[in-house]
Amino acid sequence: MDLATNITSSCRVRVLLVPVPPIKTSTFWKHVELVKKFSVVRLGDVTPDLQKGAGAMFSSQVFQEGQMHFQFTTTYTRDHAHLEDFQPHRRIFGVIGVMDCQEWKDKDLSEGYKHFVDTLHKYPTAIATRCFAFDPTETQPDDTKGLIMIPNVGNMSFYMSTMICDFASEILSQFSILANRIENLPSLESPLPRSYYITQQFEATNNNGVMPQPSVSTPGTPYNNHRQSQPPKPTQSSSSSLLKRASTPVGNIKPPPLNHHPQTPPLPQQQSTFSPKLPRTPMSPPLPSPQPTMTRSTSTHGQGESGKTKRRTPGRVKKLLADLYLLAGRLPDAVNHYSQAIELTKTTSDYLWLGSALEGLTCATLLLEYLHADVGHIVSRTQSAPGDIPGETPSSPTSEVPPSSLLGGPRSTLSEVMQRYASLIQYYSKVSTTSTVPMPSLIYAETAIKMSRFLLTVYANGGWSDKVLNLLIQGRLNGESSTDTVTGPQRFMSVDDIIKHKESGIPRHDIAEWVTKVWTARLDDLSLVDQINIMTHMSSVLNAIGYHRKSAWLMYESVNRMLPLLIQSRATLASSRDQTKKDHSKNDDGILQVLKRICEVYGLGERNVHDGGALGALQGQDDGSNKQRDVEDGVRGAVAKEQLRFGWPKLQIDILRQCIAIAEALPDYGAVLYYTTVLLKNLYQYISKDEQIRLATSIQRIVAMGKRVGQVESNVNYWGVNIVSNIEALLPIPRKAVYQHPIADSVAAAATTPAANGDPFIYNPFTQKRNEKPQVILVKDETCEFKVTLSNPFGFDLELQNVALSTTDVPFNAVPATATIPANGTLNLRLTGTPEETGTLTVRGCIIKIVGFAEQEFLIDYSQKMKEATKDSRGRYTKEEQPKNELIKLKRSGLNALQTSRKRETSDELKPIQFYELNVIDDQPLLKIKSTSLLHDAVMLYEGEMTHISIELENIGNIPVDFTSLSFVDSTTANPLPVNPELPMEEQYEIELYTKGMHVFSWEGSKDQMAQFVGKNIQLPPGGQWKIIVNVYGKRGCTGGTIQIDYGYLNRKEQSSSTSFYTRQLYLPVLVTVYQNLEPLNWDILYLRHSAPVPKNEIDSALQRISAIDLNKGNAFDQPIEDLLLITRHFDDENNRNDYCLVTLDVRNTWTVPFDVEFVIDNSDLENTDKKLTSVVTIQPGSTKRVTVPVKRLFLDVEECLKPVPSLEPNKQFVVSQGPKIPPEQERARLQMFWYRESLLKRIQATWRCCSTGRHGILNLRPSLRLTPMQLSILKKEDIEFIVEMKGNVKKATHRRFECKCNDFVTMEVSIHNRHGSYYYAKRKYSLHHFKHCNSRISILT
Amino acid sequence: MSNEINCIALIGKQNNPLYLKNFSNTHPDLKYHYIAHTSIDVIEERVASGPKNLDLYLGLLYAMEDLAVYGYMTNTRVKFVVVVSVTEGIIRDAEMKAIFKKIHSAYLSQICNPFYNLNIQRSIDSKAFIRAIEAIGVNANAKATMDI
Repeated sequence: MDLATNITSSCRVRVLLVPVPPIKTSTFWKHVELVKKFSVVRLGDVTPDLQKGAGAMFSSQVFQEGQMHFQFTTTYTRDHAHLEDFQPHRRIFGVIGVMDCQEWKDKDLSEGYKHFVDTLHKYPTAIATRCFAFDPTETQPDDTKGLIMIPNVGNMSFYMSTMICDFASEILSQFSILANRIENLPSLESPLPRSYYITQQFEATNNNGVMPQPSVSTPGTPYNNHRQSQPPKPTQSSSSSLLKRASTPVGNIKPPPLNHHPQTPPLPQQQSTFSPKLPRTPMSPPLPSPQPTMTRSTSTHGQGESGKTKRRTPGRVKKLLADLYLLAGRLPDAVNHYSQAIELTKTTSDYLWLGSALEGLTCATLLLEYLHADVGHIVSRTQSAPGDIPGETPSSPTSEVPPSSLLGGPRSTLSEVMQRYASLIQYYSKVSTTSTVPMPSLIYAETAIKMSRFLLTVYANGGWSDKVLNLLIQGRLNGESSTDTVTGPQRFMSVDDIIKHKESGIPRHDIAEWVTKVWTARLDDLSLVDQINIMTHMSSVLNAIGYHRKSAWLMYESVNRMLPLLIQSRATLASSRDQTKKDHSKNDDGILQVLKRICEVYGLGERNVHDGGALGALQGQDDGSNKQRDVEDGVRGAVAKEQLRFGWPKLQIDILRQCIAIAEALPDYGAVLYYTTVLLKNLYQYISKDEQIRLATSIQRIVAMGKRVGQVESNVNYWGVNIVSNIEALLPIPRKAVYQHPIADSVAAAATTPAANGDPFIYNPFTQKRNEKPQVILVKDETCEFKVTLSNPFGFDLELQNVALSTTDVPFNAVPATATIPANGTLNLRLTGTPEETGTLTVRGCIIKIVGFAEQEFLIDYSQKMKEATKDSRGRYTKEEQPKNELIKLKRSGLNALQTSRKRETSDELKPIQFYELNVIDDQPLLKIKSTSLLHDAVMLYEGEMTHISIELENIGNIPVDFTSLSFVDSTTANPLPVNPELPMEEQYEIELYTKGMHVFSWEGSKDQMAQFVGKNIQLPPGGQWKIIVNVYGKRGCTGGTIQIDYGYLNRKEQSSSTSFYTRQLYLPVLVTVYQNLEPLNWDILYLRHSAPVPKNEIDSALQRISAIDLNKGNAFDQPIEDLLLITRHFDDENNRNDYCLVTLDVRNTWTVPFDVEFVIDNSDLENTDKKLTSVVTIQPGSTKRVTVPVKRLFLDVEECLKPVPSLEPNKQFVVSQGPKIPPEQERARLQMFWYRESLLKRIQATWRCCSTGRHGILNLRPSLRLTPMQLSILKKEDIEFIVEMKGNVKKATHRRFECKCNDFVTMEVSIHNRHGSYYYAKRKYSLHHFKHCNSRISILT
Repeated sequence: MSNEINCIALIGKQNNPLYLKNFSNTHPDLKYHYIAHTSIDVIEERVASGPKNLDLYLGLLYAMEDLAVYGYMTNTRVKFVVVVSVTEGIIRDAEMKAIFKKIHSAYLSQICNPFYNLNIQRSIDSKAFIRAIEAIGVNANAKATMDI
């Protein structure tokens, strides 16, 4: 089974070590290791052949410096039996039994020896046998002949070496017998290549099930044979196949006609004829294996070939002898014979043998060079293992030895070897041209591997040197004891290594070329085991030179080839115990390691894939998975691995499928599970829906099977793709929402927070906006809802049997739910739960149980979400950054990247994960509106009307309410009309007055009727009820509003320290309908001038009549205009100015019922205060009535008139006017107009009343009043007034009316009254029209 | 020349598969995927150890069974791999170079498309490009059969 893969392997004598039962495996291996230390024997130490002395053909004394190299193996197959005659080093020459005396304490050792001898017939090629009995006790007699006791005392190694030398001596003497036979052979055939066996092999597998080898017919394998077979004498069994070959044509002639067809048909027949024969001829165990070869070779070469073969035989014989010399360590003889053989074979163009001879010659020259360097080394082996020969080399006096001629120079040897191999591989490829027997592909492949390994050794060790030579002899690649550093599965070659190796002068592609030469041999012809063997060698060489992909591919191929063997072995596990089985049970881990390595190269390393904790669970089986670690795995699966994806998906899928197949064949359910999940999770985008479903179902199946076998734990988390994509707490319904307020100031303060923080702008678009999202606050013992977004990236529906929130820190009673996520879809789910304590609740994610799978926790990293959210909020910067993030910056590509990323990942720990945190507060009271006085929550009002709503509240919570506050919003204030700053100030004032100055709602209980936000301390125990009365005013344009009741429980004992308190809110939306019932219009102000004085008593009676008017008396329709007018004619004696003007307006009733309108005119001024006039008028539906009211003319101080227009908006943004500057006079006039209008409106107030319904309200006059400058001039008293007074014999009739006698001088006094604040420089101009003859005296009053 | 183009593969600069077209009907696509993948090894080595002003045409990368793998690398490290089945005769470098030149120009016109994202990891699915590659393979194979 072992292949000759080293350039020096043709010098090794193969010795089989067999255990002699009973023996413990560990003991056996211990002894094997011991024996293996003596693998090199110096010829000088070998016991000379006593009979023949130095004259013996293979005498050890002729070339004492020579060394024999043993290769101790523990396995034995006859796979390459057909090549043994061609290359003797393949043959098992010796068998050493290893016996443990401790097991034989009570029994006779000879019995064991006999047992050993019994088994020897299985090894027909062995020419020397020994049986070593280790660790004998004192009592055990050393009397069994042939049994060598190795005592565990004294200089054991010396004893052992003696024994080995003795053994070597025997082999050497047997060699001579062999050589004799070879020399006497009439003809020597070339080995038949494997292709001859292929058909046979199929036949054999059909018959035998497992063994792919034709050597079913060899006696070595069938166990049932050996009992029948009689033990052949060990020495006799040395009769080699060579001998047989010579004898078989005599003893076992096959009828030639059968073999005319060289290729196929006869062979199965032959096989079938032979195999049944076998049990019947137990006496011929050594024979059968060469038999088919023999018969066939005779047949194929047939009559035509035989002559050629005969001609070629001498060369072949020489070559075989040279091989034997090489094995025996007689290097000069070997070289000699090889050169002869080369010449002979060249002349006969026997290329196969020529090539082989060249190989042998190369080996021999290498050995010679080694020995010459080592010539002063007297003791070739002491207690030390051969491993430290290189170490000893420097100590050996190499300097004393003159550089031998053979050692021409380091380069020359190297190039010589390369050249020789290049030529011999040429010869090999020419084999088919000169011989009917094709080239055995095994040999060809081996040669290529030999050379590539040779080059690799030189390459890896920095050029040709003695050290390299040492390594070559030992057949090792590297100086260090562990070759793993180069070929180990976990290492990738870095650039540094490549540079380091560069100085060796051997380009990597040269090595690769030799490796690829293997492909030129028809590998498919070889047995599976050989193929696998060769491929693994190729793979390791390629790996060592950094061709990782190729190496991985070869590994993949070899594993592919292992698969049928694995399946077979499993299939026949129960029935037969065959050798492949033994290997696999040992190498299960090995195959998995190989798979791991393959996966890594293809970008499926454990660090690069989502495994959903399957791997963690696999490893966890060993050390008992603790919960904490599982969690971390989950985190890694969810977060850390995102970035490291790469690879070639098509290949990855194939690789993973293969991995699954292999793992299933093993069967290792854990690995199956792992690879299935990796495939499903990482490559689902590339897998068809059907296969996804199949994989998903197979996961369940695997777990079920794994559980049965006990390989897979039941609580494995293997569903790794994070299907939870978002968790968000939902705001509770408004009635239950909790609002946080700072405790420093009361709620009222919180309402008017737009604080003056030094910013001149009330709205600054550049200020950082606060997160306006309301924070969700959970309340202890109250159910809260979470919105969970689940996404299913797979092509099949995921049925979730159980979904619940996973939380920590605060006890939380989560309510599980069930759901089904559709394929390739997302699902929004509402999950509920109840926090049971106050504190901070941390939402980690969801615990989800998918139907048929284990429960698993999916985590959500809130920090990433936050990052995304902030990025989005940054607006247009995001757009620029996004493409930058998408760009992948590459520093390394391919496998280098893999290596660096691995480094990085090992260095840093898990990313911290930030969970979603929520605040849980103490119990909160809960109120409900039990009833209201409204019908359907709607109220109908006439404009200006005021009604009351009563609201009854009930405490339905568990704790009392001790604080409430009401606030109101109505449709006119909730979304007020934007005030255009370009509008004149007066109009802005009007608009503000409308939106801000008039409130629809007000709370009766509050002191200030107009306050929109009022707080109150109350006491409302659980279950208590409380009534609130709210006023509603009919404001024009109002369509609805909301009464908001904030309430809370503030006076908690335990809450004194906290800085905030919480309230809840109740809302009562009210639909308001306001009807316009009365419409004032057409204002006018008229100038009144009366000439005739009115007697005082008339005025008094008029006043009386006016006051007597009462709506209730029903006399309101006769509006006493005359009376009102009469009043205006009232003069004072003192201040007898005619200072009334007449204000008229029309009032239209647009409603369907009559309304009584009452005007109250407040004519009070500085002098008389109680002058109030009322005017009542009844307006029928649809009709318009003119209302005339006398109003005293007004005069406002200049200062008053220049006051700026007030604003109701407390914090109004000052805007520099864009419009053209108004001239100051015009500005003054406008202000004057404004203030006069204001005072006029103050004086006239109107109310209405509906007699039939008893409703009443205010008639809003303001919107309809527009003053014109003309009207203003009437309303306003003149700035300058002339008062004329007559003195003397004058009777004053009324104001400005005098009576005097004719032709009588009177003094007229004109006083000028200047009301204006500033001086007037008036021209004095007197015009006395009426009074022609009078003295005038003008006194100016300032 | 009786050598047929079995496969044309394009590999991105990050060694990601860009496009693979299988012209043979004997082997599955997957085999060529593997061949293209393993050829990266050789290309990388050629580039690492080669002279600075390496020719774009890398020549024979390796031979496997009856297939010869030829390589070509653009200045932007996009690799073209052509797998040729060697039945008889020799493959002349000039012919291979011509084929690679054609592939290169097809690829150039593909990346000149302003809507094609150069850094995308996915494979090329442009119809025009696929048609161009198919034409290259079919023409070369037709010529090969005509030569016989």
